[in-house]
Amino acid sequence: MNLAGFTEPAPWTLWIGTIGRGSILLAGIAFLVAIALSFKAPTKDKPRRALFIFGSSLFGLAMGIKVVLAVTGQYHYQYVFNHSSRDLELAFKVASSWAGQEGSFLLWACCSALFACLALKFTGLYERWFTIVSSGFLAFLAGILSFESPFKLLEAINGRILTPPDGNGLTPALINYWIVIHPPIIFLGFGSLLVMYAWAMAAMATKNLDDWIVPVRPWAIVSTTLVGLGLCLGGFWAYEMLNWGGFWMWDPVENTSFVPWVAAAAFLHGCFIQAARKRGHFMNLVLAAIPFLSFCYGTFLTRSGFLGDTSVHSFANMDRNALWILVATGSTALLTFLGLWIVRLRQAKSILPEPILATPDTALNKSAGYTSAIWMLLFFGLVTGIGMSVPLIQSLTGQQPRMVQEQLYHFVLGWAFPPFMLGMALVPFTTWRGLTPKALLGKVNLALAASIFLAGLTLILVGNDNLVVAYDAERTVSMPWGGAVPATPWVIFLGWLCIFAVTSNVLRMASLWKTAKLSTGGLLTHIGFAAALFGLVISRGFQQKVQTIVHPDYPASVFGYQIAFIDKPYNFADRYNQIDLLMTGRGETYTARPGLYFTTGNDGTQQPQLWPYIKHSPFFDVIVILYPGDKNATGETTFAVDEERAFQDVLLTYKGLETEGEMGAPGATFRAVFDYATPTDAGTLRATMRIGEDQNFVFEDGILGSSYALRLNRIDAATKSATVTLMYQRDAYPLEIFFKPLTIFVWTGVALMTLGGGVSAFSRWRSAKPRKRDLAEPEGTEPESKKKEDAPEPVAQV
Amino acid sequence: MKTGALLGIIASAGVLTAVSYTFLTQSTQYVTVAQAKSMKGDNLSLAGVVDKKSIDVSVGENKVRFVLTDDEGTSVRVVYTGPAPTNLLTADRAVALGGMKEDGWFHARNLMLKCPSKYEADKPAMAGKNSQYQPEPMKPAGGDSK
Repeated sequence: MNLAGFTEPAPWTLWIGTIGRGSILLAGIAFLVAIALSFKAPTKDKPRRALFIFGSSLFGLAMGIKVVLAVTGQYHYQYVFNHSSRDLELAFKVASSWAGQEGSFLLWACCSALFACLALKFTGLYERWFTIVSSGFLAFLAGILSFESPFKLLEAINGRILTPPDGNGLTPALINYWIVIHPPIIFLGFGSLLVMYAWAMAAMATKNLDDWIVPVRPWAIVSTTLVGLGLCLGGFWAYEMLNWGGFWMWDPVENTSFVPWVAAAAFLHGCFIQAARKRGHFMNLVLAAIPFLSFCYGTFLTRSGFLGDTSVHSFANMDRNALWILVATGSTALLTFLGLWIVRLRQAKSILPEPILATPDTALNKSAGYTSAIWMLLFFGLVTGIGMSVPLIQSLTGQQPRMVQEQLYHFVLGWAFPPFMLGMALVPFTTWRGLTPKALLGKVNLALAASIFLAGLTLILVGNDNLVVAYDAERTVSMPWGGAVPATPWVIFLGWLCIFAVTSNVLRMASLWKTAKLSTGGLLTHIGFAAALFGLVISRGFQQKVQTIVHPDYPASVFGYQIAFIDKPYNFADRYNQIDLLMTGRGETYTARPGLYFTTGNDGTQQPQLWPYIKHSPFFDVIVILYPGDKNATGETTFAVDEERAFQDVLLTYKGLETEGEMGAPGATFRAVFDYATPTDAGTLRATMRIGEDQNFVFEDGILGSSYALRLNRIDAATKSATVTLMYQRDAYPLEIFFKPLTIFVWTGVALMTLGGGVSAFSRWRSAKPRKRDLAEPEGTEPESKKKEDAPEPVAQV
Repeated sequence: MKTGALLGIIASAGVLTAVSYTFLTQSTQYVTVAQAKSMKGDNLSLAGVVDKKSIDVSVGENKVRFVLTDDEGTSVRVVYTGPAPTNLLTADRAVALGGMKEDGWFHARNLMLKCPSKYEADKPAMAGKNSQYQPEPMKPAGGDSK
């Protein structure tokens, strides 16, 4: 083995790794001791709290050590060697800490611990059981991390630990700013799911199913906001850095985030019902648990190997012990929840408060609206969860694997989309007592009119070739029942549903602005969500895509643009290399700069890496993707004597074969004679193949004008046929151009959705501050019967 | 049990059954080469290993041709219309979505490529969706494409 460049690691780099390993182990012990103390001395809050915070801090310490090892290039650690390298910028070295399996588990542990610590102070009566449940889960994670350790050293060489001169680095596709942003945010969201679950378990353990809902609500909002934001950022990453011009493709890894998100959204809607009407206690316990449990399941699915070929994401084989601990974690969480839930269900009459018995006047009431939203959100989550489980189901039943295509998700989920969006538009105007249809219509008619107007405006916009690339009126869309409908009206209808939700929530927000500003956070979230969906629907529904070629000698013409390759020296070894394409047309001129560079694989092959150039404008995005150049204009084509074939503007006629020398011997030469004709030129060329001294073939291409050459690949001595490839004299570059109208709404919508979530969480947190009554209660007392100050919130708020 | 709750449970079970049935029957079936040759349609998923030496990229035709060997060791020639996916040379495995044609080739309209095992969000190219490019192979003068 060549040990050039290998060095002895500094002693501190070894004992710091030991500290990291030890931190995780100690954290697990701290959590277990905290649990034991909770049972041994249930009234002693401070030691239990201190142990919990101590254990959580140790996860943070481990992560800090992990980052230090990556940043300082301690490649004698397996994880650092596999995911970091010298040439990475500092931000990417830090991000490498969560790019790998072990790092992502540690990130999950840190974020879960962080949120549990933050929420602890607000749990009041539930703190003890909240701590027990959280400690249990975090102890399980410590167990996983003991086997999937980010602090494993490389194997010793001749009995010595040596530091390689460099690491393998990040996969090129990950070296962009999104790796720094997206994982921390989405894992903060995943970590926050523990809070809802632990709180629900604590509520059941204390038999107080009522007092937790108001304080947990801001955490549910934060969780939904963070997971949603993380999800959307993942979509932006795909859009900006990958080459399929989209945000989402229902990959199982994406679905693992989507299911908890919609389930968390369902829970926070359930919180409103329980807070206002004192109903839905058992439903909310389940809704609080589903996000966490579904994420545990999704984690198992994506890392267990069952997905096989059905996901574009690749996963390292998880350590078997760690995988079993993961299974045990999820199973324990599920079974203990279910067991306790069933027990409490049987005791419902004795532990539930009296519901608000005021029966709504009509069916169009807020309670029914929220309940419908919950069911539809659960439907979205269930469908997605089943879809991503198909490979597992097939595998467990011994059948051949299957893959659920994107279109199938759309077919099934599409059924719930219209009622869901209509509900989002109408329910904010309902009251707890209910409205008649006429009264409700009276409240929304302005929003309805505005939405129809805006939908019409959208239709005019997407059909105006001066503003955008006009849609293809002939396109159809397949429907679930087997037929097809014209795409344009269908997409406009879906877009209208989103617009209606926006206008309706804007009007409602305006009506509440003077009296309850902070209560409009939820409405702002609806506006953002619907706007983002509108952007997705329109940009995808009216998307156009063209594949063409750009050549230094020939500009391409697409979507009203002339695209000229700017011929200058490019450094294809530079990670930041971009190719300049002059785009002229549609009243503007600019330089598109799609990225293209090459890395060298371990086997010496040149591997292309690329990223798109995106031109954003208010009305549309243009995505330009440039693929590696190649000289092959055609594939291999076999000509019989006197056969004519055409390629674009070139006509070739094969006249026959000339031979020299002895067949099979060095120096034997074969010349395929072709007549060619182009609009500007005509003549005869010869493509030659000669047997060299070493028995290898030597090719001399026939030159055709200034742009093409003809390569003789092989001949058939019996028939005199010739197999040739027409080639460009210089590399031609395949281009994919996407045209996506109104994508700006996706970005804007996500920003508004996040802002709304923040405002709403703040508003609910302020109103959920512990009352003096809660602080004064001694530990371990039974929950008090309901008093007047526990009256539900004013119904005017959303 | 209240009627409403009972109806809710029955409806939920019905939806669950319908959705599961739809996904399990309508999802794309993975096939071997032998199965692909005996089946019609262009919604088959053929998984296997790419023969790197067989990769033939034709920029002018907007096609990529290669040989795919399934898990039973049977090979088939695959032609994909679109730019060559960037990780075609490094992919461990490929899943070609399409169907067999009379010319004996598996015509893929989508390619999914799986990189070597590593946990990272590595999304290889999923090119070819809704392509509007009309490839122009060398045609016999005045006749149909080859």
